[in-house]
Amino acid sequence: MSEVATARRTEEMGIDTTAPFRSPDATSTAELALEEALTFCARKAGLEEAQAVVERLRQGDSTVHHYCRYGLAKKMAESIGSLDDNVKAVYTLDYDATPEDRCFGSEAHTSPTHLIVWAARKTDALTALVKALDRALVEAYADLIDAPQLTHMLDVQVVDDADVEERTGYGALLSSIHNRPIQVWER
Amino acid sequence: MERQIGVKTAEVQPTFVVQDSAEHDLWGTVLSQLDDVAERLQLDSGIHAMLRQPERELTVSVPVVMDDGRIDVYTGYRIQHSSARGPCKGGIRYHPDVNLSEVRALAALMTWKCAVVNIPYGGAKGGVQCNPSDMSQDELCRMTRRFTAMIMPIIGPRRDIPAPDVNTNPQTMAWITDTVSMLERKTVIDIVTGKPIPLGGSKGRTEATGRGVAMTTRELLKRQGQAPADTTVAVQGYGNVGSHAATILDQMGCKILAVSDVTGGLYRSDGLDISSINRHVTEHPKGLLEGYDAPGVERIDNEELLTSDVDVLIPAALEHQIRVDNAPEIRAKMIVEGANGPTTREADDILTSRGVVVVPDILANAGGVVVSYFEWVQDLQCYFWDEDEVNSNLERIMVRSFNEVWDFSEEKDVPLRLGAYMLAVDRVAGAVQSRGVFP
Repeated sequence: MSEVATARRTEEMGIDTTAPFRSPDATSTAELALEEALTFCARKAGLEEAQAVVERLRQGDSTVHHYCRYGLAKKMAESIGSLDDNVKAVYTLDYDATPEDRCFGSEAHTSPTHLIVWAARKTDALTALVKALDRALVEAYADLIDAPQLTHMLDVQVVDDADVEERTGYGALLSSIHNRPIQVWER
Repeated sequence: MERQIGVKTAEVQPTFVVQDSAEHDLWGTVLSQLDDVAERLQLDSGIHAMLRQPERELTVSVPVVMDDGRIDVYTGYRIQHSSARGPCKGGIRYHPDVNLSEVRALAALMTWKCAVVNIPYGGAKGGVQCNPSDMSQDELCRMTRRFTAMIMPIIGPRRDIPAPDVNTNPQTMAWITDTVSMLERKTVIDIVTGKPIPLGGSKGRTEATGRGVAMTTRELLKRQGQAPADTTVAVQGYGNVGSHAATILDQMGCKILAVSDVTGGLYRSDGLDISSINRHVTEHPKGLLEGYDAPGVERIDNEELLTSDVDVLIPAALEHQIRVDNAPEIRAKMIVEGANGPTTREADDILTSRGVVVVPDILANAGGVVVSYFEWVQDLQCYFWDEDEVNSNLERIMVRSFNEVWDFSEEKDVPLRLGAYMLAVDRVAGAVQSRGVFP
């Protein structure tokens, strides 16, 4: 899908990517994603309500953070996919040098949500969309867990068909066995 | 006695990089590499045929009562490639794409990895096809326990010792330990490695891989006649492996000129202050390099880091970072692979032709599996070492392994990567030969 089509789609959704991404829309998208991620997290972590999740997040509970990151990954992937027709699939991954090391390495409780976005083409509109969503998510999340020093929530790597076919850069990870991502959204 | 059992010996491969992709038929790659090495070693065709087949493959169905009361059934695998040199060793992974072919290939790679550092293990791997992120902890616990019960006939402290892998962790290992202990009516802490320390895990495990990378680098420098104090280093990836490798090399006297993570890289021509960077990373809410600043420090990107003018490059992040497009630009004379598969096959050819010495991942990042071995040894003895003892034993094994691979490669006149695989296969074949074929 072309950059023009992406712009048309985001315009239909009330999103101005030249701004880029009008703040209220990005904010509401991020807030909704966060709310749904907290609900998902509460269900998976066996907590009764979202507030209990927030308490655990503030305490640095790594299991709750894992579910929250995954819930956010799914919701942000849905948003990115639905706002940009150019996006084919979205994957999430935790990465480090080796899986064994990931098991034993320390995990910061606010580590970013890593997404690999497979798009037909890398476009400025997609970059702008990701940046806007990240900014909005940082605002919402930093308030929630009281971490004002947060500057990023999303680490998004966009790969195109050539990257995937030729297994270059992050495109190589989609067929990797060592650092294997999990697909969270597909068109 | 040589047996002719129709072994096909493949054409000699130009290089020996594992193309680690399920879609690219990893098992086929593993076999063609084995065939190449078998030809170079003039391996007995019967032994070659034995090594081309996993010893045992178990596929199980794992029913799990989910939190909402429904029953989901998952498919699990445990594959033992070889127990010729000792009990099988290898991780258990949880992922939606786990499949038999991939697990089979990874089991064989574990055989070679354990052999190259000469620890008394064979190779195994296991996995369950599931999406752990979509499952609650209770569901994961029930699935792990049922899977453990299903594979119990073939695992055991003297048979096959699982460990964490993709999407499993010390908690998963604790569930396995408890399940086996309950079913055997005794506490069996030596059934898995990678356990939490209160349950028999080993000290020193966190830093083990990075420490091993640093030790390997130091031994390489000795062989190259270069003093650490005269050596400049770039480290790509500042996670568990890269950060510990950089820290230890810095303590050894090397000058770390560049480091990078997902947020980009830092470069300082006179050397970075690693202690100050570590403090920044510790204090950073996400444990990242982002926002670090100091006099003389320039921001660079990951590509600039890879091609920076240093003596040693340590790729300790993702795979396929050194490719055909950037391999000609790499200025380091030595590469120590902290990550798994950071160099593509084509790039490896380019580096070899340019005379760049590459210490392969199978050797350079083996510190993790070595300390897993130490955990098992401590559990068997019910006697636990302090961290200094773990580190000094790790050093002994890594130094010995590096030098054995170096000498073997020199003797065979092959690059270190090929030499490491040849040495590993030779050791496994030697064990098979000595034991003979039962009955």
